[in-house]
Amino acid sequence: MSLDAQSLDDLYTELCNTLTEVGEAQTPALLARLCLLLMRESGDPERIRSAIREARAALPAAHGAA
Amino acid sequence: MSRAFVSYFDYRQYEPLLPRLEHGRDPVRATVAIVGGGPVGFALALGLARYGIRPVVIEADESVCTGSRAGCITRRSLEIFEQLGAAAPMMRQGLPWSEGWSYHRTTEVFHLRMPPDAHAKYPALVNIQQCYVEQYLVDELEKLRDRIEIRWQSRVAEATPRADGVELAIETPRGGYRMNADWVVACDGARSTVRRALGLNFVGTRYEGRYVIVDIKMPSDLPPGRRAWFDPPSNPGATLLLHKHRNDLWRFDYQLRPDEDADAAVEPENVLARVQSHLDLMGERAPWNPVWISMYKASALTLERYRHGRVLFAGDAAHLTPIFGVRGMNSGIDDTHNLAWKLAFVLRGRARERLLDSYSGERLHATGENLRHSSKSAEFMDPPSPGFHLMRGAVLSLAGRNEWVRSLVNPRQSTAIGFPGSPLNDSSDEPAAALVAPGDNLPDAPLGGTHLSSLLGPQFTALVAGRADAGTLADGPVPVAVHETTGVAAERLGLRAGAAVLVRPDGHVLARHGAFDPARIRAAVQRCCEGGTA
Repeated sequence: MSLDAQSLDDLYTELCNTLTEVGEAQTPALLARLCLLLMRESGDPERIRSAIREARAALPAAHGAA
Repeated sequence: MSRAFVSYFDYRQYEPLLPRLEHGRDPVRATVAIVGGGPVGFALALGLARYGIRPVVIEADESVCTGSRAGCITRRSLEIFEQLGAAAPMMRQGLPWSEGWSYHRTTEVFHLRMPPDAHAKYPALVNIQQCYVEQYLVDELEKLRDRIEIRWQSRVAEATPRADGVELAIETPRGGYRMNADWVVACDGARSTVRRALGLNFVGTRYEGRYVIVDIKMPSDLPPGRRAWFDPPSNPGATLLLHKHRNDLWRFDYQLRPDEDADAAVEPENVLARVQSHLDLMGERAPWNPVWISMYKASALTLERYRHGRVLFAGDAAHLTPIFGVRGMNSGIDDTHNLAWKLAFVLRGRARERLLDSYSGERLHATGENLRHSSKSAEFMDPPSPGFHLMRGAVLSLAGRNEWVRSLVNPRQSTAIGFPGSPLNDSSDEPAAALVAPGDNLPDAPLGGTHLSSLLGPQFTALVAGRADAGTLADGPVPVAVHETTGVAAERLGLRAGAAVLVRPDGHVLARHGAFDPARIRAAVQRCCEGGTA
């Protein structure tokens, strides 16, 4: 199951527009809800775990966090 | 930090009890000294008495506990109290419940329904205040007063391990004395004197969240159950839990926001205003009175071992678990049931001392399970970081319309914990997926006009599907009771004709054999009494 380039392009834009609509303050809440819904859709614990780690990989830890 | 208004319980005061002394010393050496007369110490005393052991209980106060303490007992605890002869008054005073409602602000997002177990003698959860539990255990102990002493108003000041036992220094309003015991079981709670005396420390986590516990008296027809609010208008930004007890007693348990001042938060006018605001939200209109206000902080802490030579630790002295899921007092009661027979068997020469190491190992496993569940509940009730807070918000906002996400809101109520990895377990010739495996708790079921939970006595028990020739199993120093098992009981245990399940005195399965063979049963019992595999 993978997205074709056109669908990816459309969904990317739709998410950007949605985040813009709700505003910066509510962006984390929306992304958190979306993550839970997509976890459910995926149903594959290993792929979800690996996606969480990949998402984390490029980001530095917050100042003071372990 | 607590305050009492009216008492709902008729406290009996007990005079200090001192032994006859010789030169400031109790000349009688105790076989077992139980330090701490709370639910754990009293349950252990009754448990040991079933095996003919005569412990001395040393309790600092002059009555059973005051204030808001544990509030709910599990089926497993009731089955243990049944063995101790104390279940009937607990059931008369207790209020069974099997439902829960979780609300995000004012919207119901999760309805917990625990289906009743038609075959079990006792319900899964019964609300009862700890003072009743303690008093009913004391009532049973008083029937044994010629054999078991409760030394009220006696505070342990020092505990010093010796080669053959422990020396204790006791202080009472009538003066102090020293005594010796072959064994000491520390049941003296979260601030255990014995734990400190041995220089032992807890490991684990203390949570930041602070909770105000308020008991009130209020007539209401609402059904009993667990009611949880996240971010209600009456306590914005925090949580609130509510439980019904018998005699119109209700227990509120609400979280303080991090910026709230603790001293101001327990001032009656602030507490009572918040309670009133929440009752308004619920539409409860009856007049009510406060009973008790106190403050609570959650901890997930444990000793790394529960046996230190001749000193054993049980209950809060050994481990502290967050209150969510009722694993505090109940795990302590479970400790005593695991320990009583092992200690008694060792004392009577029926088992090797290393059997007591399995007490530590098995109960540490139970603590691990309890902390795993109750810490997740604590983290959901009080998110420890912005990340936890963000995700909880996402869950609560989705739970109303998405059933699958509601399992994350489930309060994870306590259930019986088995010991699949216990060194005592005998090999099983049944598949691993068998209904009841070695280490598991025996499920309850009716059998021969009674229940399995009532049938278990202070000995090993073999449950055999079909006719069983017990041979010499009932004889000898470690007798094994044999019961023919039919109907629902056999089904629940997954027993095919001729098969057998061997049960330890504490209700844990020791072995299951595809064909009942008294010699194999005897061998499994012997291995267990030797302390199991090395």
